[in-house]
Amino acid sequence: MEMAGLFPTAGNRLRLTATVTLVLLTFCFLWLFYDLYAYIAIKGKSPDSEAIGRLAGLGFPVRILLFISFAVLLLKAFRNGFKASLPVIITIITGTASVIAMFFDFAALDDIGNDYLVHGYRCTGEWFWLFGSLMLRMAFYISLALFIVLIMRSQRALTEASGLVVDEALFEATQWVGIVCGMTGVAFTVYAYAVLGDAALKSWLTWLMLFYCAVIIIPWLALVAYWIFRLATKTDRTVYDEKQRHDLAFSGMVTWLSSIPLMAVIMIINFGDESRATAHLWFPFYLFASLLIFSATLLTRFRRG
Amino acid sequence: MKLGNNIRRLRFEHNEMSQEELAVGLGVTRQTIHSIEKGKFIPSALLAFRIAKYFRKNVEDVFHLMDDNDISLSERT
Repeated sequence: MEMAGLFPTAGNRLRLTATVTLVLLTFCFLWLFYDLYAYIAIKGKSPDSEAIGRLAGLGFPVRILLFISFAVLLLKAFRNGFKASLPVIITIITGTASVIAMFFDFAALDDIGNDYLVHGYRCTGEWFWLFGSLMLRMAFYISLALFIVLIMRSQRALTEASGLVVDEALFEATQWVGIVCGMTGVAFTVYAYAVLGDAALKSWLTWLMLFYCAVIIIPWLALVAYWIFRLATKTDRTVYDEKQRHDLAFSGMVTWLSSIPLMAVIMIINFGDESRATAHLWFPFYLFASLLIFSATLLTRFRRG
Repeated sequence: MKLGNNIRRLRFEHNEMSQEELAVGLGVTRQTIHSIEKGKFIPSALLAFRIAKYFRKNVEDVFHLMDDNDISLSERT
């Protein structure tokens, strides 16, 4: 009996992962429309708000499963020679933003449950966020569907596993995720400073903001962890080639040089008044700004040659 | 002074080899081959020798120095 036939090939595993992702995507797509209905019903203070909200909450674990499945699919696709083309990059960007948005959705729904339904506050910002987040999710689902179709259609043309192709595509993907996380983080810290001001000094709010900052950087950290894992498991330690190392060094220098005037501005804002919100926000801001500059410079250098 | 190269010609002489095939053979990324071909990235001596060895040529058959006149001539043509 042919033993090789008993085990799934790399191509079959990719197809299986694509199918599982497609099934989860279908569920999530339906749930998106349910969420729209739920938000409208809760906003209208429907008497069934409690039950409607509970079912909307059940959608979160399904969404988490979809994100995990998407990450596995992406890695498998790169391993099979799939290129980081424009539709793939759009899927990575909208997917990363959707992962971050999921945590903020949860927080907004929690606020609405307490402040809107119980205490009767308006919660305008929370509603604005939730409906905007639905549009972002819709964009992610559409681009993911397109990504799956591309995988299914081009599977025959894909080459067998090549470490080099994985590195190149993943290298680019890491920078795109870095840009999205960096931009989101900078926007969040500037928003926290501008809107919350000195109220951010309240300890519970400070910890909450730092928690959100940690959430924003999770997608990038996950990819970096994967890189470190590859570096640790590769015997020859040649994860990057010489041009990539050159680009990394250049981007590091640009990031360091630009961080000096950036932090000088923070120091001037904070000068002589250490009680201001920047006392807590300077580090997350520095981290996200550096990540944004580093990833954007590296991606530009890598693509332009 | 600039470093010129014949990598593109050599690739086509080797069964119209793609940049990706050459990259896989050398253990570098396709972008690196693209940048070297375009003269945007100067490879290390080690990589230059490896490229030459891959095509079974001497380094000077693959890479050559171009002075400013050569550059302006090649840009005009």
